[in-house]
Amino acid sequence: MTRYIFRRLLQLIPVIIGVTFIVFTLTYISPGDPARMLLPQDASTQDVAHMRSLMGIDQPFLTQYFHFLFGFKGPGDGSFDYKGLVALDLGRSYVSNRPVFGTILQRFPNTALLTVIALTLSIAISIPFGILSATRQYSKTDMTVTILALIGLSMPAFWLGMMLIWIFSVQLRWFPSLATPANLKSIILPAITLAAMNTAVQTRMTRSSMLEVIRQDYVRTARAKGLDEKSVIRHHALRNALIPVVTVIGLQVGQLLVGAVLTETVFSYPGIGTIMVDAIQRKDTPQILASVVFVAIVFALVNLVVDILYALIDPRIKAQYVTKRKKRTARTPALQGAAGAR
Amino acid sequence: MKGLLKKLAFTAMFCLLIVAGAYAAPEVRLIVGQGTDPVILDPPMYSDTPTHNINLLIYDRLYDLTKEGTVVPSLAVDLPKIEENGTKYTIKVRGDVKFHNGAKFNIDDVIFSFNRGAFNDKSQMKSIFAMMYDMKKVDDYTVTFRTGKFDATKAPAGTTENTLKSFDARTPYFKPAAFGSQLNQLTWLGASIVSKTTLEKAASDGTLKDYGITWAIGTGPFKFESWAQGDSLTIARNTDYFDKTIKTNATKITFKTIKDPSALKTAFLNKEVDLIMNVVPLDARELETQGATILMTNGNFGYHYLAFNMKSPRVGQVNADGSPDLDGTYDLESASTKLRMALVYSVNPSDIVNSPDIIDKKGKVTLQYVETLPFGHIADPAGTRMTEGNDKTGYYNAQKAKEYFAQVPASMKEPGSLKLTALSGSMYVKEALVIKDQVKRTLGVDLITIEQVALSELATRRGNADPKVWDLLVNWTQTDDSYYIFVAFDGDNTSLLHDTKFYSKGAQTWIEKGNSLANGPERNAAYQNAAKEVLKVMPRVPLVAIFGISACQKDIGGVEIFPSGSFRLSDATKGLKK
Repeated sequence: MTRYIFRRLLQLIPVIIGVTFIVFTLTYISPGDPARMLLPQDASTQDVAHMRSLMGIDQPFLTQYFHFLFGFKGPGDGSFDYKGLVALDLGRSYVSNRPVFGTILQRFPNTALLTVIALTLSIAISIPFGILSATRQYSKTDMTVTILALIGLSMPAFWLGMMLIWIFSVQLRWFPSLATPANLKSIILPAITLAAMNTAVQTRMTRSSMLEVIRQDYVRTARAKGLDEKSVIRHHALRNALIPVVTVIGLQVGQLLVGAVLTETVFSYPGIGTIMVDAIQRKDTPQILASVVFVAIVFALVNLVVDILYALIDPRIKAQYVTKRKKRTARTPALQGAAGAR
Repeated sequence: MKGLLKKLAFTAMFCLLIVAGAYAAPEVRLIVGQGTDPVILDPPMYSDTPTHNINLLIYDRLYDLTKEGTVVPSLAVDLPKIEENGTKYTIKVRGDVKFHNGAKFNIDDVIFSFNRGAFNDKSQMKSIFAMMYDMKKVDDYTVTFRTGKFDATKAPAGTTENTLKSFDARTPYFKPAAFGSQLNQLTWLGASIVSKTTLEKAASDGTLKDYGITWAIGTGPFKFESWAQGDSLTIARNTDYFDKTIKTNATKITFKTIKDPSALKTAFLNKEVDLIMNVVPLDARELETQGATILMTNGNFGYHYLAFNMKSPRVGQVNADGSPDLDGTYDLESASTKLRMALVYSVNPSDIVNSPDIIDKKGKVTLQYVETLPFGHIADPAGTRMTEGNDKTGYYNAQKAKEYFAQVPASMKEPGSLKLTALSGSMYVKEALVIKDQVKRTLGVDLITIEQVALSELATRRGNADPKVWDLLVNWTQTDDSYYIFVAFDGDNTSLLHDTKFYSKGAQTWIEKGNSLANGPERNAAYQNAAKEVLKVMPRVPLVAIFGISACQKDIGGVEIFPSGSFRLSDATKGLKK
């Protein structure tokens, strides 16, 4: 298993390099000049050229990419210098002058908190309702759950957020309209907003997965053995039905991190989503690159965790991996023997 | 006995704490909702309104501008002594001022702050100090400097204005020239005073990089307390503030960042914030009906305009080979001018002003670039193009538009051939749509294609004025007087109308005349003449003079909104207003 995790971690390296190259290229070719953003409106062409040289953005594309990876030392007072992605230092934001990774690390816990609450909420609702819906297929309960799931899927997050604010903040005054990590009560509405679509997807996924599993022969056998229905569902069907659901949940963690942008904006919640939007609008290249790379790393790590969980939940995957290793171990002495014979 | 004494001491301490608690001033926290996060609490390094609101409370300047536009001393003891034909300034500063960290304020801080503003690579406020040179400390509380212009004939080859990196370095190569706006410019936030000793110490211990981010030291009525980026920033009352006449009862002010306009409005309606600024007109109506106090500037908050790219062969002025003709004289009979004038007369700004979705009557139709301001505002429009328009429909004249359009060659009448740029998702896009529709209705051809761009791209486009990229641009500019003196009348016209790369020799002559005069009617007349010269060519159509709108809760008093749209909160009170 350790070997498997190590191999997966190694696979992350080309993924991260690929992501950085794509993001860097897109940022490079996107319109807008960061030097102009930093300078006053009446700045002369010489001023702009000077600022571009200080920032290192007058260099060719590949040189700039190299700087991005391995660091940049400019001709100025050092305020645009950085050590590069390899040292996890992409310098300071062109706009706020704050260290870009520092800003992300400061705000990421806020987004993570919102994501965790939203995820917990969606799992707590979706799995029981998915099971209920599957075990009572075509009943009124199933229909109700299906309709609610469809509504959840169809509602854009920003609209749902605004509706929740209007009902629970403006009309009922139960919750504040502004969310802040310091006040857990204020996170309830954004968490519901963020969880809505995921809950719907997971409910549908659990339902279809359960439907598939409960028709399997081994479930029929369990019933034939005289086990009660609850036991059959809990011990025989659910574990297998959850395998695809876990995969979907894993992917959704990444989506939640990125999808929090709208929710954070509607509830004025200080997370990383709003940093990214601001950075893109202001062509704050270091902040854009750091944010996207950070999200890519988190996304990749979450997927790694999901794959590990997957192996733990599904004995077939674990067995497949163990079998491969056994085969390899068995083959090695034979080869050694052959070499010795020669 | 020992135990009894201990008990007595404890009881006395407890009682003291209770009494002190009862008499301690209660915290009065004012919460201001802002649409964007402040950028950096280091005045010359950035200037947008949300940052401005905060820096105004943390820092002081030598002079302040009152709401009525009068310059009054702040850290200076009096108005400056101006001699030698308006080119030599002597300023005395107060001796009773301390920075928030206890450091004593003196003239070294002034010289240090001005040098920083003038020569730091990241300074956005270099223009304030662009004409200053020969700055000398007379004593601990007095400074002198001169104003002038770079004289290339005195400078050795390779020396330009940009290569001179201190006021002293400028001295040999500058020749004296009066600059009437210099005093006004010293009231700008970029001329705020920072502590020399504090920043020099920070430079040596490596904490300077975080200045304005995790710490900030000024002399102002409030001290920096905390800043959670993207969330909120709090400042606390400076009880040692030298000016004891300020009336605020706020012990703390929190600036809460609320990016989404509807969330900002909801937070205000929920009374989660006390003040909000830059309210969009449509929301202002709703807030007013909900009982909010609406504060508005008197029309000079800024104006919206339709700019023509004067480097464009379609609507600008170019030479026979297609290169921009920027020699300062204009051929008003060329085909591109005819098309430009056809567009000028096709646009009816009243549709924009009256649209509930755009301005909702929180602004007025304007025929000139400066509304209601002393500088450059054309008081008597006789003999100018302004007589062709009126304050209801602007320059709109369908007949004239068609006449001009009839003289334009067919090759310039292709549908969609004029590229109009506007900031993505803004009200300018709505205005662009109105203009596109009006042009189509008046001229019978759908000439305009609208392109929405992000803020960074808009800045680039305005700066480059690349005729391949855009012909027309709808945008906004500020017209509060101190800003406009610089933008409009700094000279060379590319500043005056930098969006369009416009240059008029006639206007330039009057600008230079105005710049050389001290504040007064003659200077104003010179700037008016410059503005008239610009209107002859019409490089952009003024559309709407807009009002700055802010809202505050009923129990908030003493808030002043300045022409720049920023709040002055030093007299703001909470809970005292009945």
